[in-house]
Amino acid sequence: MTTIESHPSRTPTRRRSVARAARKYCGSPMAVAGYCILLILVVVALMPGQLAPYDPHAQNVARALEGPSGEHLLGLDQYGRDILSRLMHGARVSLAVGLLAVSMALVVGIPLGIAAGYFGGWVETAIMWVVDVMLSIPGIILALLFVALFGSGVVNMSIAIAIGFVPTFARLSHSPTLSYRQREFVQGSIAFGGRSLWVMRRHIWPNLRSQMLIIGCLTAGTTIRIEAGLSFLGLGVAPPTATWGGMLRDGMLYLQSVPLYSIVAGLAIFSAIVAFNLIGDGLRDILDPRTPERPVG
Amino acid sequence: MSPPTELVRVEDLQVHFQAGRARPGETIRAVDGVSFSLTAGQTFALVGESGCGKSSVARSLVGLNRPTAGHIWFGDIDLATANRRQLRQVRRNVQIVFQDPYASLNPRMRVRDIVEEPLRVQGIARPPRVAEELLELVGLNPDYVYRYPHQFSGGQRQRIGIARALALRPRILVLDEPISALDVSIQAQIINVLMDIQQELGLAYLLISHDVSVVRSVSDAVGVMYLGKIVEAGADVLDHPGHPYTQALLSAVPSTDPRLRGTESEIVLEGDVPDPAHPPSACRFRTRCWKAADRCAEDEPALVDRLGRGGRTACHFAERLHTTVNG
Repeated sequence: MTTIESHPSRTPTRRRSVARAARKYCGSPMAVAGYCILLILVVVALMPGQLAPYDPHAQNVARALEGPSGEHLLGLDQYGRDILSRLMHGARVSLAVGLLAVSMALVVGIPLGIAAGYFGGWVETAIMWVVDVMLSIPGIILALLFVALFGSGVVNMSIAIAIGFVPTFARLSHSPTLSYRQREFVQGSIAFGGRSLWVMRRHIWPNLRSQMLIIGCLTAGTTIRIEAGLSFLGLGVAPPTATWGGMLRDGMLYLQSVPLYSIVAGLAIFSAIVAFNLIGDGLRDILDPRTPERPVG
Repeated sequence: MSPPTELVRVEDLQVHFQAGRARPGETIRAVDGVSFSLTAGQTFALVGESGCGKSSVARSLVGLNRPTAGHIWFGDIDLATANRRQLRQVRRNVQIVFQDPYASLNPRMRVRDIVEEPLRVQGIARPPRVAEELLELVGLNPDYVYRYPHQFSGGQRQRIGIARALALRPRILVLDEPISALDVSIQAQIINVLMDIQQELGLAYLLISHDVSVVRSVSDAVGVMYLGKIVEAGADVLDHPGHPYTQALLSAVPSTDPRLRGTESEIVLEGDVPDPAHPPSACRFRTRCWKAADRCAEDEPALVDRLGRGGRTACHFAERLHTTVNG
């Protein structure tokens, strides 16, 4: 029997493809910008206590609504609290809720979608029926209802927002599962004696993974926006905890006299959403399932 | 076919599907009464045009389709009634090689994981170099175990597919159009690999193919399928066809002898294969058969030895046609 000649490359290819992916990130300045913004936000959110110049709750009513100065770079709010410090502390709530909500929605929605597509029959009918019903109710209404019923801590807010995205992720993982279900490598695995859980975990999930990561990343921007929206409506994490949405609303009252207040809060929300969108787009470029080894650039 | 070496006996296999939403209530009779057996070290081939049900037979054999009726006997286990544990046991002995080597390997898995997968799902211990040995068995460099499927050509991928099918040391291999997706230059290589392995390991092959010339060169016995039924079966049906459909199939194969070109009378069938949800009565081929008579619509010809040569032919006019064409 013939033996086909090999190139002398025995090194596991994972390390090389990581290097290649990194090169590709650098090739896309927008994605790099997204990572930089996110990195700053995450560092700030992890240790606002060390980085913020002032205590976000320390009031100085006498100097309320004072403009920017060398002492207070972004000025003071209506209670004389340092706006920059409050923004930095607000990052924690926004990022925590945004990421937690996406994670929960992914963890619940994807298995539901895969199970529906894989098993078909009544399992599919039941899951997709519930999904359709949930999709017909606007997510923000579900979130409002949940917060109204159970209160608005970080975890509750995350659950409230996640509920609205579970049907989306179930849908998005359902249809590719249907097509992978018919592919020969899935049929083969079943023929070799692979159990359902094995086939779903080893064959279907790895092929959905990158798509779901991209969608999850893009959705994180949306969940942060919804969190800000709930806080804006006064349904977010309760004051005096600093939240970007809450600051945006407070600033609205002084839009004529101190526009900077609302503007910086809005910019903070904007930067987080943009960061996740840029990263999502960058991931889409590098995680295409058919190009992990093809030479890049 | 002596009893001790017979590994699989398929008896009157029927596989029916419910038609989709567009045609509610209709039943597609993909396989409608097929019988054959597989013997260790021998190749049984099913030939026929697409849609005749040969792939459904293959899928039933590896447990991907439940038979609607009939039996698939592996020793004393019948796949039609097997429970989960028995099905798993049968699957250790029957493995499948798929048609499309681009679709049959998970693009996200390394060759090692692909080849070892059957061992893993069956919970069998994996010796340290089992993947390398399997690659060597199919003529691939064992260093390839760390690569991904997209780094290989179609022929190499098909070798990986064969290596995977051999991982459990099965006794029966179902080859579902194993070469029809490959370049012609690669087809012979893959056939040779398969034949070498059969000799080495004494496997029984069920070869599903529409390529008459390949089937003729590698199989020990052939079943010709048309619309869910075997219309002719035997060791030499492709050399001495008795059934008009077999003759039509063979006449469509271009001759390799240039001197014969143009001298052979090609039989061109008219019309399309009938709808398998509404097959013709009695003989299913009669709607396209140039020899069809009134009798063919009422009296279904049985698959029996009509020519006294060990083969079986399901045609009332088998003898006469046989002498006409092959002289």
